[in-house]
Amino acid sequence: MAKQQYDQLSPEWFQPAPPNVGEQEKINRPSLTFWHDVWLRLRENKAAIAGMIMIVILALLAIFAPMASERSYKAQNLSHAKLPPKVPVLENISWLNLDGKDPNGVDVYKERGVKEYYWFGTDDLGRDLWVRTWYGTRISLYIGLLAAVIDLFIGIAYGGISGYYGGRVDNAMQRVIEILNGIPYLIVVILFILIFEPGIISITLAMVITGWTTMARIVRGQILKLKNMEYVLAARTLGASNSRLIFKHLIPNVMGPIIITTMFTIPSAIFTEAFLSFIGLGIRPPEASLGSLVNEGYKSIQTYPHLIIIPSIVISLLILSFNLVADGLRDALDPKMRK
Amino acid sequence: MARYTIQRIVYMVITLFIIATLTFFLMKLLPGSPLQNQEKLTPEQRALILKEYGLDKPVPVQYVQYLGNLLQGDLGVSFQYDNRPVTELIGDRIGPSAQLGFQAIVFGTIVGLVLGIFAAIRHNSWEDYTATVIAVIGISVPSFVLAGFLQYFIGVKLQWLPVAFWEGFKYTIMPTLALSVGVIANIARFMRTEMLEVLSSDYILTARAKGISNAGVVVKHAIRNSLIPVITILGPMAVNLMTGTLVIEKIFAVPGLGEQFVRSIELNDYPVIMGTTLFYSALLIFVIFIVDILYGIVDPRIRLAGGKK
Amino acid sequence: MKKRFSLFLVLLLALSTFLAACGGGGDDKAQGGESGEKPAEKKEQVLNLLDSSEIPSLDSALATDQVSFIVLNNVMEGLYRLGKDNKPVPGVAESHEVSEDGKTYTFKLRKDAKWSNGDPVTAHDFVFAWKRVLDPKTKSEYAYIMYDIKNAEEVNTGKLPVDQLGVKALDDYTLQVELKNPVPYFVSLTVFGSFMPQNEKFVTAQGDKYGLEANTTLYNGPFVLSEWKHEQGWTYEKNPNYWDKDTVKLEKINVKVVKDTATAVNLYETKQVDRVGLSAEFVDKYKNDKNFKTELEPSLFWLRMNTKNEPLNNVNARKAIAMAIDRQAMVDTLLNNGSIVANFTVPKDFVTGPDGKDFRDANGDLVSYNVDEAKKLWEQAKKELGKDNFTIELLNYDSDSSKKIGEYIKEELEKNLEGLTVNIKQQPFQQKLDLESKMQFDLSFSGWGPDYQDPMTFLDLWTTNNPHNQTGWSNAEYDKLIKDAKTTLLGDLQARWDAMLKAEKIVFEEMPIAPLYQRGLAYLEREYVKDIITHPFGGDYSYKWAYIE
Repeated sequence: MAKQQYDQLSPEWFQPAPPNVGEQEKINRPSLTFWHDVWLRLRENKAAIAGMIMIVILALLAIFAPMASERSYKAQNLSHAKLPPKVPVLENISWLNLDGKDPNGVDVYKERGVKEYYWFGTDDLGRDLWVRTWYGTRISLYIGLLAAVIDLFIGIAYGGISGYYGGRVDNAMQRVIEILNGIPYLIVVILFILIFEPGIISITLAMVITGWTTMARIVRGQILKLKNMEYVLAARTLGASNSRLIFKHLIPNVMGPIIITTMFTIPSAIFTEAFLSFIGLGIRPPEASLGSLVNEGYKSIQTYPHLIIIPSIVISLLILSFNLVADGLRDALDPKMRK
Repeated sequence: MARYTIQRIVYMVITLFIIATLTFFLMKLLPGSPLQNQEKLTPEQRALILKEYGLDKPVPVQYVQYLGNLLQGDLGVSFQYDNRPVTELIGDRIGPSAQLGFQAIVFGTIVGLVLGIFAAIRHNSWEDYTATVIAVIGISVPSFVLAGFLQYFIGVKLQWLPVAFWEGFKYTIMPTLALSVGVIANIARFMRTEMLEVLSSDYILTARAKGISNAGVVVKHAIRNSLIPVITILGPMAVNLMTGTLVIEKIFAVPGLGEQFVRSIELNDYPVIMGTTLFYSALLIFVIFIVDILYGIVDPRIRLAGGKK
Repeated sequence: MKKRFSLFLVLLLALSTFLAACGGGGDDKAQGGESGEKPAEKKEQVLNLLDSSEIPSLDSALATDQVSFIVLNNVMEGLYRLGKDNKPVPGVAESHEVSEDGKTYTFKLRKDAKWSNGDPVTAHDFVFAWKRVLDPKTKSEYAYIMYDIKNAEEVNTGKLPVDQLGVKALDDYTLQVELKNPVPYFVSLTVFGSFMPQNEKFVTAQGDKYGLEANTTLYNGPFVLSEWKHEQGWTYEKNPNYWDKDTVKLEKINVKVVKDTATAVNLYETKQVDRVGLSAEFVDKYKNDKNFKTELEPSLFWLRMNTKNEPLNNVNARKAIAMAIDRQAMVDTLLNNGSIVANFTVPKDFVTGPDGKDFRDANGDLVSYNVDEAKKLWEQAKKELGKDNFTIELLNYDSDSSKKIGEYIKEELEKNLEGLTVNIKQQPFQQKLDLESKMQFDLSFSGWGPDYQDPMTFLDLWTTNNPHNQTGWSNAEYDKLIKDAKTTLLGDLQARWDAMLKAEKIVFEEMPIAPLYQRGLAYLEREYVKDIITHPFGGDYSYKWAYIE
């Protein structure tokens, strides 16, 4: 059969193909937007994914756990004060220390005739620490995110302008930062909290008022480095406007440091809040934040360790997750890391 | 360079002046009076004593007087430590704070750099993750909690180191450790980021292509170039340490400046607030200045940009 | 790859070895130091103590705070000092005589009292010191405590020259004091820090430096300060020039400054100190310890109620608030330091009357926790005010312990009194006092400690024009009783006492305050420490009689 077909071959069939320019230049890989590309790289990073899942879990707990419990974050019951954690089922695993026994091995629940289970124990006013921890996580997340977003906007705008224009503008703007940084933070914060009603917003603003300078310095430093690069020169030669240069060329390229700084702003905002409660200016009682819980628990570090260990673990998990995600994002955002 | 330096020094003096002015007026907004026994005093008695201190005069008059004294190097006397000169109070207490801060910065930077470099070289390996975890713990555990644990386990349970006080080098170890954890964490994270960036840049590839050994690339090119941005965060970090020392000084009973400063704000001890503020600010501005100079020296590109202006 | 692994490990190891080495180095010394202080060898008369702050001033004219007064009480001595039973016992004065009208006191001073530089302590030293306190240029914040002396207030306000003060040295060893009113407690006032003598020659020579360093201060008390390291601590040594030095057994007292309770407890655990105060958290840990002790202080805490504001202008609403808070639970669980529930406004174990009975035994409890009654009164108040819902503000300090109490009060009131919302306003100390004196609050958590040993120090607070009343409450009968007790009744101490008892009852008929608790103090003290005496006012502690067993 094959032989017969050879006979039918015609020389006309063997003409040289016309050069097909379009076909050669065709991109075979599907076209990806920058952010799609980032996501592709990010999802290969197991640690980052784990971090994201953890943030989602913590956020869900923060939102729903206080709602789901029949106890309120502020309901007191002094006869149930200072109970250690006790969790059904897990109470049988002795090394977990979730059996309602204090450090001396006394079953406090039995001693005081408490029938309820407090998963995370109670504090010295007899408030349920499970509810308070998640309620506090909610407040801390809120403060952290708010502070980070405000920092981000002010910092990028300020640092970007300062670094890009350089010269006198830069000089003047840097002096303003120096003055802001030079006034002791404590005085500013105390005044802020005295002048405005103490609350989440005034605490956040008090942190932002000097906090944004870190972001501004970093953005400025990066812009200074980048603005003399060839591609910027090229864009400039092609007639790109200043704002186009800043926002289309420079800012996207400093995204890595910006994201990392932001990711550090969230935990550090959560901590500044803790520091403020340490000197008595934090969140207003009976509200709670992770920082204020850690802070209150610190006093009981030797006597009721669960009061400090539980909020410390949550705060560490939260920050670890933010860090892992930040790392992943950093790698994913950097096109040079593409495999 | 000389001209630039002089220019900067002039700016520094102006900055300090503005800070002195701002702080003075902000402080006047602080409510209450500096009297220590005012809970027991009647308003008339309070007014009487304030008049003797000259605090009944209009604020602008007080401001002019303050500036006059300041120019003569006189920071006034404290209210809370009756009649003690502020300069003496600062002088007495700066030693321990400075030593603590310095030790924490040096120790923290060295350990942080080592961790950061290893994390970057072994990107996404278990070393990287170990370093990350150490860094995260360093940032996420407040220094006072860490200090509390250190004191209890090393000081009380193991009795390896003294629980508190300030009587020799071994007394400085625990406070330094507690304080440096934040530094370690920040430096490590920053160094890792910078190193990764540098390691993926073209000139490193060139260096490798030329056949320079891996160690050579890392030591000669990568580390050196990554160090530059790290220098910039040392300044702000030194300032952050001041807030850290405040808590650490309290826990380890270190006779330092931080605790005194917080107390003076709580008690409206105006001369001490002003004096300490100016002192901190001057220090900070000086540190930033040094950092900028260093930055210019180590990074030729910055100097070039500066020269053009 | 393997190589790099190990390099990393080596570095980690090096780090931990460094830490361990530092630790190891400290090890021997820490334990060596400690063994010298083991209880068994504790025969030498050395006491190791902590205090919560640096000494702000050793100048008795300027001292305002607890720490300064404690030190002054032990390195100085006034005409009298508080004895072991908290009654005034002769100090520099041997005895005193009171004139018939009770207005002139003549003190005979002992001739063997000396300053630490060998100079004798004379009547002139008292005249100099007291005039210095009242001189407006000194800016003493405790000058008002001398206002019972003739012309003192006028001198302090600059209306009269200093030499018009009613204090005279009749000769080197006789001091005559004229009073404005014949107050019965004047002798107990002379134990207070501001009344200490000062050596004119020495004070003038030191100028601004007086009281700033151990060697720029002159002492006449049981101890002298041999060393004073600012912010770190100070050392007392037995004063060889003290007239009663045979009574003083301690050779040396080391005091260190520690501000954090956990640190203090850790130092006690490592046997570096002999006595340490405890916060509520640590009481639970140590309450069964054999060295655990509590004592009651004469400081009272209460809620001031602003009687100008709705609903607190209604007496039933005020009573309901006072009765709705379960203070027993608060004292037992929150404070946990030996504090007791206060159902009164003159503290327990503070002062006894002419009949020898404690003020409290005579008047008993004047209000008590009763939720049912509180609810009834509250309903009645709501009817009278014609409103069902009220939002009030609770002004509070921003310290840790007050925060807890504020939260607790809020919850108790909101739980028990329907329709009441309490918002907490937490302010730094200075700001809080400011708002309080302007009466910008509804409820205010506050307290008071005595200035002298008489119920009057607590009772005259609530008279109409007292600047510390701060409740807007005013009662003519009350004002009259207090005025009589301060003037006409001074001749008849029993009648005066009865007037004060009656006055306290009036406070609770109208309840401008809701009393909360009388403060206690929990502490650990090693069993070999004996006879540190605690005083209800003035300097809190005396070490004169203390010894190591």
